[in-house]
Amino acid sequence: MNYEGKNGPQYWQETAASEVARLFFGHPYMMESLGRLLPPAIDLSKVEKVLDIGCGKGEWARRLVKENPHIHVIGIDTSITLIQEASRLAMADGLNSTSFYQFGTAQALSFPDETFDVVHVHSLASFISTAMWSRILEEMIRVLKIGGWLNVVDFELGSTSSMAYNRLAVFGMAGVRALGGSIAPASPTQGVAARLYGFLVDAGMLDVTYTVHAVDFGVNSRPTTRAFLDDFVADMLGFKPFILQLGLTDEETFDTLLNQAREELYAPDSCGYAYLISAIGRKDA
Amino acid sequence: MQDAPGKDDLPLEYVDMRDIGNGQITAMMSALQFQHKLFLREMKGKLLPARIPLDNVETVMDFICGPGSWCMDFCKQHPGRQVYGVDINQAIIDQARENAAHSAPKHLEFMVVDRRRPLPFPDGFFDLIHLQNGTILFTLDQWPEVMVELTRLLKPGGWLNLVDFEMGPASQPAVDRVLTFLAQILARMGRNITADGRAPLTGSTLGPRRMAQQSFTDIGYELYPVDLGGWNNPVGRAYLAWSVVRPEMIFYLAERTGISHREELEVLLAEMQRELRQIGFCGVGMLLSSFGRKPLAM
Repeated sequence: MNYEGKNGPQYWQETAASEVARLFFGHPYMMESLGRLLPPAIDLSKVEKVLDIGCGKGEWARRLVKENPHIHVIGIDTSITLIQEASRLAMADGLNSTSFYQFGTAQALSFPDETFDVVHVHSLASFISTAMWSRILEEMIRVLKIGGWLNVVDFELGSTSSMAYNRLAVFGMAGVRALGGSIAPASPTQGVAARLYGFLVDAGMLDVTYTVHAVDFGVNSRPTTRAFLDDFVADMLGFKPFILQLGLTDEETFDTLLNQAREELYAPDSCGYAYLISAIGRKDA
Repeated sequence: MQDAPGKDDLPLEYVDMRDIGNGQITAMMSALQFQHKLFLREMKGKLLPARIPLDNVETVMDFICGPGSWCMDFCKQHPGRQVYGVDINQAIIDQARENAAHSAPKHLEFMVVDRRRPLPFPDGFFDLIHLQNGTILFTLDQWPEVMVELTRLLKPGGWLNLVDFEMGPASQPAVDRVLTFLAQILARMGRNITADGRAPLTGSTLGPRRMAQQSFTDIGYELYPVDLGGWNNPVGRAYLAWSVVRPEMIFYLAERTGISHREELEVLLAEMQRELRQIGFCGVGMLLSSFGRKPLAM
């Protein structure tokens, strides 16, 4: 992706950062870490219509339809580039029951009330401001059928053995804060993933629970890890202009740290993890 | 510091974080027994990662054994092995002996050692060394020496298993602030690996590298997410309140390191307790078990 000349916070929040996050979260490795596409509490045999908010290239949606051909999924995203790619990939797979649309924002969904059996959203939290949250939740619940399930999944970095990466992560966090994407300015973490469960409780949903999953960053664990790390490093490169623009560091330091992080993350003794938190709740009558 | 007489002259790098405050050791040992149960729940009842074979294991050390929960369970599950529960704290070992008195495992022996001296075992004595909560007990600077000593004690081909818990994100602001204080305390104590010292990460992820630096083989690790919140999980909340941010430990270390003072923290911890009683509280952590083998030929 080329972000040259597009360094405004607004641009980042709406487009570039969102694209980076979508690709990152849409990675098969993330789905592998979750273990399944939707929590076991959701009986998929009774599900007909699913809304996938922030669908990215549609990896999740395509897998859901392949495994459950009776389900119709609508994917929406703020990035036209990703939506075009999603439609192309779904067509290439011959999936008729998946349709992809693009909308400006999840704040105003253009679907009637009580349309979906399941609304699924992952990685939304990282790049939307705190103020937007309650409005988006309200919208997601509005388009759910009574008794339908809302599933919200988000990511939080844990720890790694790469000291260079740990330094870069501090810049990344400062960048997210500058975008208004951190809900908890005093938090040592981004703090969004851990708040999803409470959001659903506060919204008055039924049967609210959450599960926590480990995302393994180490190189000797799973074959998909290397591909995941490649994306991870690419994401950091994508963030570079924004981090430099914020004056968090200079280019030379950034490049040195990134090279060092790459070396450390790919070392045979590399170890690291992140958290995925998946919260669900049912719409009350 | 009236709460911990005589401990102020102990340099910070040697302060045993489990033994702070008068009469606190019993409470802390209960918390550690509790922690053992919580960890076992998250590790699906397994005392060791499946990749460590126990066929030829005869002599085992549970280093920093605390109240002895792990080594007593190990004796029950694998009778016939000679097990040593070793700790650096006399009061803790007294407690462990008392705990073991009821079940009285035949091949279990508890010992106190001086952390500043080599351990009183010959070279190559153990087939397996288990070290839980060790990362926080030693400073980042002390770790290379600890690894040299543990390597000396292992037989060629013997296994080392390092198990540590690290706190992750939580949902409430007072919990966040307490954790930030804890992170700063750990940084002053040489036990924080983050670049800005804001998150309380002690370096459990460095286990595999520490083993690689001793030329270990078969290095690997397992991750077990630990849930500390949710409406149906009082065990997790209690662990956070009693162990991760034990009030007496936070008060003492915050004043000793000059990070904060008791009055400020009492208000904050009371607020944290209120948050922990909310249905919507969510908090998570990670249990990391890293393991490897001493090379057959050094």
